[in-house]
Amino acid sequence: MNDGHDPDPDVLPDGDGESLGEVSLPSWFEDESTGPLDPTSPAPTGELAGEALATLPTVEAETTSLASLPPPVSRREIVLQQFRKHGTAVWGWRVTKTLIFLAIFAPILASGEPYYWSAPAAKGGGWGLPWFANLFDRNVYQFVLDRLFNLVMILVALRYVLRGLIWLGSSILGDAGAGKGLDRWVGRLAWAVGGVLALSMVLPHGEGPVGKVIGAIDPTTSAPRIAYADEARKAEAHEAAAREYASADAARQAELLAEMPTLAKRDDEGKVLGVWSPEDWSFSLVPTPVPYGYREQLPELEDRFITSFDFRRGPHVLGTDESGRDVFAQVLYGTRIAMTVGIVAVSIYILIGTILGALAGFFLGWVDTGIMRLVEVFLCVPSLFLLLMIISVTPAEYRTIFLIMAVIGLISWTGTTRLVRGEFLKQRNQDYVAAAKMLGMSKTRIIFRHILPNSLTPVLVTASFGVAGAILTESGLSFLGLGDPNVPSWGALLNEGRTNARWHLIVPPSVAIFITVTALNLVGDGLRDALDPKLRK
Amino acid sequence: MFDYLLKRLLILVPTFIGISILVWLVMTLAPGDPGAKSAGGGLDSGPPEDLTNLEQGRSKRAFREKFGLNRPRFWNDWDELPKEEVKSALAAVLGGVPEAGAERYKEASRDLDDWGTYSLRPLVALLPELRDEPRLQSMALRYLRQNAYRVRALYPPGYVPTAEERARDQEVDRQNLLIRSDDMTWAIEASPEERDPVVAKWQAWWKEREADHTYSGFGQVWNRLTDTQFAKYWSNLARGDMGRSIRTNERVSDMILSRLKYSLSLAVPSFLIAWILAILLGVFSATHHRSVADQGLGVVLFALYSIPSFVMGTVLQRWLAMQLDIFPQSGFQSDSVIGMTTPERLKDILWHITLPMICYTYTGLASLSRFARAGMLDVLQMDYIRTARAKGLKNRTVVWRHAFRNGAMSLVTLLGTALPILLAGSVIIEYIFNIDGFGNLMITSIRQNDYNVVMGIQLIVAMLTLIGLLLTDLIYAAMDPRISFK
Repeated sequence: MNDGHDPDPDVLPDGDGESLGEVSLPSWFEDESTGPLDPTSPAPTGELAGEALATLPTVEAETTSLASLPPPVSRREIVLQQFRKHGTAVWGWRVTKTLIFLAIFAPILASGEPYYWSAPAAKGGGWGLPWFANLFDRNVYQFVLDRLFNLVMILVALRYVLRGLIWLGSSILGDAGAGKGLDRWVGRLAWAVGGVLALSMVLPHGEGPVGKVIGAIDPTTSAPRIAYADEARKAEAHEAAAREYASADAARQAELLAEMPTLAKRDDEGKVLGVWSPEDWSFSLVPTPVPYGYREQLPELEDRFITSFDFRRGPHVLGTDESGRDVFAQVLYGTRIAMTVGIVAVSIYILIGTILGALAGFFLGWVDTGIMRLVEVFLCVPSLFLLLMIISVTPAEYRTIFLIMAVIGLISWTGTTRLVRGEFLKQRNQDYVAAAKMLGMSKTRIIFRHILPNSLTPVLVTASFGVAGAILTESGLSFLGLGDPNVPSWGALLNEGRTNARWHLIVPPSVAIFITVTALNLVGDGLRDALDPKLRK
Repeated sequence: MFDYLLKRLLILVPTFIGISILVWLVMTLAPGDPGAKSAGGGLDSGPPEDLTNLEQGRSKRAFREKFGLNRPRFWNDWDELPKEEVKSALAAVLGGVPEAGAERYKEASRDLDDWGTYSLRPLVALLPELRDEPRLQSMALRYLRQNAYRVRALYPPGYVPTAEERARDQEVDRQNLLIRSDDMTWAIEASPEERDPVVAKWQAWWKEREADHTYSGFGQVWNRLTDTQFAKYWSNLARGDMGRSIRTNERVSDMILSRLKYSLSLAVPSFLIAWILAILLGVFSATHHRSVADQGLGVVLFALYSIPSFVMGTVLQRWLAMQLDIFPQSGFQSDSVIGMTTPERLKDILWHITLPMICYTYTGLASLSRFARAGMLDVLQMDYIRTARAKGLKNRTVVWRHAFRNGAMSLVTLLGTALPILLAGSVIIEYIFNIDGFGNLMITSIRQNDYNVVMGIQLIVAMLTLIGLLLTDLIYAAMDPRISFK
């Protein structure tokens, strides 16, 4: 597919290290007074390129002759520059970023837990922040992926707050450099803390000392710290009863008191002192815009299936599904699933594909033959069929979304392998590889530090189309009823809409799938065009 | 030409073998036992300690035997089955679910069945050793009698067995009678002294037959390699036998072939329509490069490209079939198809398959037209086109006679790879529109764990794909004189 669009290696400077070599060489000859870049420094490699590039502008500033030279840019930078000029692709990228943002911050929009809650006076008062307190609760967010996403949400939010504070502080002090350094350290800290916490949430808590440490770090809780739902329902019923009591006749009043003994104010011996007023029962809540999680079902058994906007039941913006779960929340949390499936599956197959492609392209011979035969075998089995087959032989208890991600990753690596192999075939005869060999570098180092960074840019195109593909595969699988039944997948919702013939269940997931896939395809298109030297602007 | 074809065909063979091994590995190495999930594999009601009831669990054994589940996957070293393993299995079966746990009980009773004649040697060896444990000894005897029983050869109807075969059958019958006779068993409450003569009889019986069950040297390795699930599946496959459905007992190849006609009669015409439309649109876009029409078309096709067929199918079904009631909701033809004349029937089928065909067509169209456009654009910039125009040829002649032929080359390559995509598409489209084709068969078999059918489907798809790739090469070579068969 990309064969016709492969960039011409002669037109492009080849990667970071080598472009440096090309650019710095003329400066030696033209102006010796400025001095060359230190010739004793080790051969420029991928890891050094960043530092070397950073020193280059100062060299340029001192000399006039260098001004006429093209700026030292790597292929990656060229591609990114080209990408930024591609209007639709930039929009695609913005939409993708928005979707990732929505996935991370989903609970802010829709959660069964209100931000703030205070108990009615009749219940003795009290308040709490259930939304925040229950972010890591196993019973509120039953699926581990949701708890992990909540962790990311908190860390990202903290990061932005800290960045704002650092910016504020550094602009007050007038020291932008220190601010940047501090900001970088905060970023690293966030990664480290997030990594440790995430691992502790995922790893099993064993018996031994390691297991105990993991258990101590794990923020997951097992009972909602602030349970309010039942209280809220009770208070609502009492408020309604108290209202009716105020305007009812005596017989009805007695009836109401008998039905709901807690309506009355009583003293310690249980003697009725009076009746609580409706205001005493009023229950203050600051709910999320859509006050439902994706699992919460409507309590009433009859008429659960809300097919339109209905205020009496609270704002079910897009209605509910057959079992009374909010559609908006399902679609919103489905973004989390889709994004995770896309990114994890693609990471797996890019990793496998790159390694195999690199080995095939570098060693050639029987390694190449073997790997390419394997690729051929995989190409002849449609991946959907292979996926269906693997899912079919897996017992239902293992059929989780993580297995689906892994399987998609394990069977879709062939395209990447062929692409990376092609890049390696092009790169392996270049001078810098010969130079690296002459310097006596190990094969591993040459492959992974020198050739690979130069071969990875085209993989970006496959990756962005691949994310869309993986999302479609997962939705398709759920649509067929073979996905993970415990996660809010767009495909499953769509299938429910199909079997019930309900537009309100068909349209939201369809639109979500369409937007996501279009955005990712636009990004892929833009990247492909950016890689094509013929289309360069 | 012939050499080339032969060479290509020879390359197909290892690829196909590779595919089948991959598919087989996935099917069998996955956790879970396909037999356990299917009809004959339920948990037995209790410990089969009853020495007389040897028929218990027979259907399950027959099932496992028939579908080749009663052997190890790759390496059968049961000819040196250790006594201790057999003893522990016997103990687990004797203890039953309460003592051994459901998993272990199931495993042990399955093993004792599967071991079959391989268990005779250890069981005979165990008989005298278990003198002090009468219940365990009885259990060993029970399995000895069960696994020593042999089945007469089955002949096709009308076949007259030769004298040799008849003699062999008589011998089998005689053996079975002997094994099932009262001389070879004891009552469950019999004392050790009463049991000893029976044990001695079994030892003598075994001594006579030991040579038949003893392997050495090459014969042993050969037996270990061939008496496995892997080897059995392969020897059947080599004879063109893909086995039978676990559910319906139909032959897998028949099932697939009878469904394939529905799928292909949907997929092939839709693909051809998509292909022709894609060429027309591609040529139009390329000749009107960067015009409003080209860009508009690009946007529409891009949008189509981003809508998966399951979304499109669901929306079309809900809207055109249910809401507007223009098309039937599902199926390949009406139920009343029997009484129809041929034109009526044709119309009925067309009516039914319009929506599925639209779903098939647009997915192909969106991706194909992009290739067609790119190919045409490349060609239209070439020198020979400029020459043709300079000669004063009509635009139509230039586009269709000169540019089109070369521009369409890239689409030919896609013909071969289209087949797996079409068949994969059939899974979802047939599911939505409930057409009893290939894709639906796949889903049903997956739901029912009918693994023989699932594997058969995989192999057929792989074969069709390989043939498609080969045809592509041949067509490509025939179209482009620059490609020579070497």
